Amino acid sequence: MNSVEWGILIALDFFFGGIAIGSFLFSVIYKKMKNADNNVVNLAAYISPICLIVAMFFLLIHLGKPLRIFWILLNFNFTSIIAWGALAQGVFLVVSILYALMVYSDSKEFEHRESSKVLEIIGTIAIKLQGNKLKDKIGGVGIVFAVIVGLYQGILLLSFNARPLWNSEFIPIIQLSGAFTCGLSTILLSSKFFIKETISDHLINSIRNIIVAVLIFEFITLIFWILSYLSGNIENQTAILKLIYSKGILFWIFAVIIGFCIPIYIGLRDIANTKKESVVEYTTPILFNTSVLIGCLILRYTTIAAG
Amino acid sequence: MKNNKKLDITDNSEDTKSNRKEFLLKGLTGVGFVLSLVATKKLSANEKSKSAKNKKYGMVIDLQSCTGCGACDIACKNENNVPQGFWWHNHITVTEGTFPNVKYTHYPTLCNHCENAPCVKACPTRAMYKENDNITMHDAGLCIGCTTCAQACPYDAIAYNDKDPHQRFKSSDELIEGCTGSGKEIVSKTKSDILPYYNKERNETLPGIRPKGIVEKCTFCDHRVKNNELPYCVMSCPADAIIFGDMNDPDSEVSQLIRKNITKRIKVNLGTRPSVYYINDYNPTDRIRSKGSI
Repeated sequence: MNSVEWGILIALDFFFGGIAIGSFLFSVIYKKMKNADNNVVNLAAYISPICLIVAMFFLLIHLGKPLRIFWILLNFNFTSIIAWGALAQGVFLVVSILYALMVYSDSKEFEHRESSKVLEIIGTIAIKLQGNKLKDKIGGVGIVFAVIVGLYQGILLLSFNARPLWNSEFIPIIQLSGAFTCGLSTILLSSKFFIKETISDHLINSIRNIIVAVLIFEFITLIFWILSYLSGNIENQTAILKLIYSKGILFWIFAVIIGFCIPIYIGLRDIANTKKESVVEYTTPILFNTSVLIGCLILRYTTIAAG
Repeated sequence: MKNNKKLDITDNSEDTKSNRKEFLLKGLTGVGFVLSLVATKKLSANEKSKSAKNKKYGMVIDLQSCTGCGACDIACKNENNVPQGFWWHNHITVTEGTFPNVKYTHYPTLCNHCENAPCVKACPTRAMYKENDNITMHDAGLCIGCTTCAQACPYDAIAYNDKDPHQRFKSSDELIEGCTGSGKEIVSKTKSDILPYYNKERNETLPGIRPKGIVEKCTFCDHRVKNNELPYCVMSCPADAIIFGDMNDPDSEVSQLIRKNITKRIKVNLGTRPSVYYINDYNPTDRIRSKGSI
């Protein structure tokens, strides 16, 4: 019959959405800790709405009629997971922008906002949020919506009974944990370029350890998913073979080896080994974080394309 | 009469009162007229929906009678102006078993107009919806082209227009230059606007040609059904292998066939409750081949 497939655009939507979720969660949670590095908190807060806007851009260009997107709200279908997801994503976008503005209004850059017209405009909006009573609560509200959006990506795929590959409880777990690792890796990677002050090794190591732990958990979940399908009914076997065989090169080389094996190896090696070469110290964090991001994107793409 | 020079108000109380009365009367008449129009429309809609509500359209396909000629596939394309590249009415062929117990089956396939349609549940704008007569319809004006319905459909019945349809008939390319006609030439010589075989009746309930960026699928020829005509695939079948009717009517042929025969439906395990039934599925392995014994 007719074959209509989702492709790279949906994968990019999920990928950037995941980064937005992960960085937002990190910013809010880390901000509550003692001696939190405000530069890192702020960077994470700024990454979230930017990546969410990029995600929504890819979603919009996937649509055949993007200008009609308002019909989702005007003719809301309460049984449609994608309608609820679009609503949650919209609310999360507003909350993440508000949170970023509030964080910005407390930052050092706010004091030097006259240096750039763009920052001045943002500053005039941020000023109105200073001293707002909702400031403390916006982070909490954002966490709820971040988790909802993170879970929505997986639950959307899970809801398609017609697609055996996606019809697994492991999918939301893989999606959410992937979102978290992507968010943290993006923070570490962009901190190298956007934060002039030195970030403490303790913080970098802690973030790296969390990424490695979540990667190991995600990898084990992925293995369980593949094994459960290989030992399942003929439909599940056909579906998983399409992923690991038809999309084999992308899946095994980019998603598994580059996305999981390399960063897990580098992370565990760094945890065990305290002495570092200067070259390794520069390239390894970039290699580590880039591998996580590439692997996450390719895993999403192959999962969606093979469905 | 008082004359308030400051505010230049003259007291025309009697005139004002009669003007007010007139205005009220006219206003009430207008409102009444509009309300009666709305009420009439709603009443007639209720009557239509009531009569449609009693119906539950479904289809039975007799696999024994079906010769696999494909006339239904082509007829559907013609009736609904379906572009190249996808099908509203299609088929799958299945060969099973080992010689001599081999079975070849030609299954005509189309939208199953499921009672529990996953595409209707999944559509974020309710562009996919169920009519009261069980037909799963598509509102082209609400469709945002997200193709969630296509992902949700277990039967791959929904197609997506990823490019402008019928480009062949806009092209000046000839298959054999100087010999065969180009699409554009055929359209101009048949004095048609869009397609040489354009069916304008399709435009009654759905755009005659669906534009780029939205999905489309079988509608059980709802534009024909509303005029008490059978879907075109049913009409075109030379073997009368496709039977259409009201499953709520116990005397209809579809109801009788479903009652009297062992029926099969595709992917019932997914809980979609499809409305397309297959009967007389010949199974040679039912009988283990032997010559008998004395």
